[in-house]
Amino acid sequence: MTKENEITKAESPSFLTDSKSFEHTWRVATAFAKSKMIPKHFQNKPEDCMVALMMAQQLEVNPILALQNLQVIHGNVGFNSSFAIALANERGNFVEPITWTSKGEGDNLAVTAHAILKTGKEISITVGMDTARKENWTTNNKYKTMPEQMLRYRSATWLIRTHCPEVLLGMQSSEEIQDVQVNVPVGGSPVDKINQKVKQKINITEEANKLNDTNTKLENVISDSIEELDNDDPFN
Amino acid sequence: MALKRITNAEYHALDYVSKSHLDKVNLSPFHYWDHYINPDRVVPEPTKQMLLGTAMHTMILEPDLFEKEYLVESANAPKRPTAVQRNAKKPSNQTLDAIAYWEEFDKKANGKTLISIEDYQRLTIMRTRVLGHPAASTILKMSGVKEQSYVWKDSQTGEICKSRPDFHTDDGTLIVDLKTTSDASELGFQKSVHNFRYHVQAGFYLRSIEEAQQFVFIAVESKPPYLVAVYNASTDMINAGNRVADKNLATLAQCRKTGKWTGYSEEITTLDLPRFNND
Repeated sequence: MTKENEITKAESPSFLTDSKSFEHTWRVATAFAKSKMIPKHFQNKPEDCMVALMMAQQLEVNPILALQNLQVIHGNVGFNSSFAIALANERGNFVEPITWTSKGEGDNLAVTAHAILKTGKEISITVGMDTARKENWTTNNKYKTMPEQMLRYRSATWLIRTHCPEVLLGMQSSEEIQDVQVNVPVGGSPVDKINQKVKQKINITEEANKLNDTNTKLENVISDSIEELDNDDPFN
Repeated sequence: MALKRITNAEYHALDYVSKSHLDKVNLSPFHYWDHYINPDRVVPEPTKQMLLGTAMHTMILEPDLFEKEYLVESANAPKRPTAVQRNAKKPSNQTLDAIAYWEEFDKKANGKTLISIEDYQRLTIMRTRVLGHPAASTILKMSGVKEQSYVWKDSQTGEICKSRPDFHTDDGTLIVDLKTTSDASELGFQKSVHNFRYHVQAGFYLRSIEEAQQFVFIAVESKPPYLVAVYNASTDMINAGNRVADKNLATLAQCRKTGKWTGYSEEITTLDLPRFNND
């Protein structure tokens, strides 16, 4: 049985079935949310704290560590890449921690993450600026200010996702989420914005047409009434 | 990198890799060599369809230039006299009138492209349809840049590439291309994308502007009822286009390096039925 199968077979956390356990987790989350010692994005957000605690339980890590290294970005929960790498180094299928080598510079920069599996097989994943450009990650400004670091994160999380996905429980790193998020600018993509304008235009036209129809109907009713009045025999 | 404003002819004269260059390489390296390198090459005359497409671009995107670049033939113009009629010893009055008319007309034309009244009427309807389409008119009313040329160096091959988007928004996030087609329906235009490799254009052009995010086609039918549709190239389409563009660029760079411009296979190839034939 593989490790992945073990995880899918894992029993559901008790707080989902046991109301006492749920209430307790909620109280802990509320207490954490009031603390100034946790990251700002969790302060006064007991709901987010509770999700982080549930994840800490699932990952079997210290709750404080989870709160420090988990982020909620536009509704997606992600690990800090450094935390994901540390977790994989400790629990992954690797003989020793992940290492990196770099090649080229500027547009040609490429970083390779290396590791040795417990079976002795050497594994590596290379991620270059060409891939970053093609995948549109470079719209994240960090690829301009600290490209090597970003490629290290990317190559390592890719390596982890490929060779020991159970470590991340299928979740993304926060850098990965941000890279995708920056492709969707505030207010939607250029095409979304145009479609919003088009919809408004169509609605205005439809409203105007309805108004015209109502006016025509009203005019017809008025002219019919006048005709009826004209046809009435005044002496009858 | 955006170039200074240059004309369409100047753009085509730039010896850099365009999407059309990639199309030739895709047919075979020999097609590319024969079209762009062969010292005895014959530059083909543009087809009527190509001329109509160019005229439509000018009419919709740069209407101010239309009068400067095109001359519409009059509906009641006499037939252009033949060489025999011109050289006749005693031409009829009718022929003399026609000769005078066409001499005057050619003087006015002076470098302009002639366009028949029927084609002009078609173009006018197409323009009306585009401007009457809610999405197309919204796009064309946006503040942007028309027919700007760009060059960049491909990081993988070192090839210098060029593009000339019909239109892009001021912030460069949206690139727009106007296409004439016989069928602007979804399925019809998908076939055009496949046949004319518009996906390669989408991927390739998105590389020319750093801020570019999306590529949109305004498809206009060139025959009645001259319907219009606007399509946003999907991520899958762009990715596929990028893959093929990379493959074509790599082939081109390899051919330049080796000096070998191969055609089709030189060995005997076993031929099977095409995939769409179910016999």
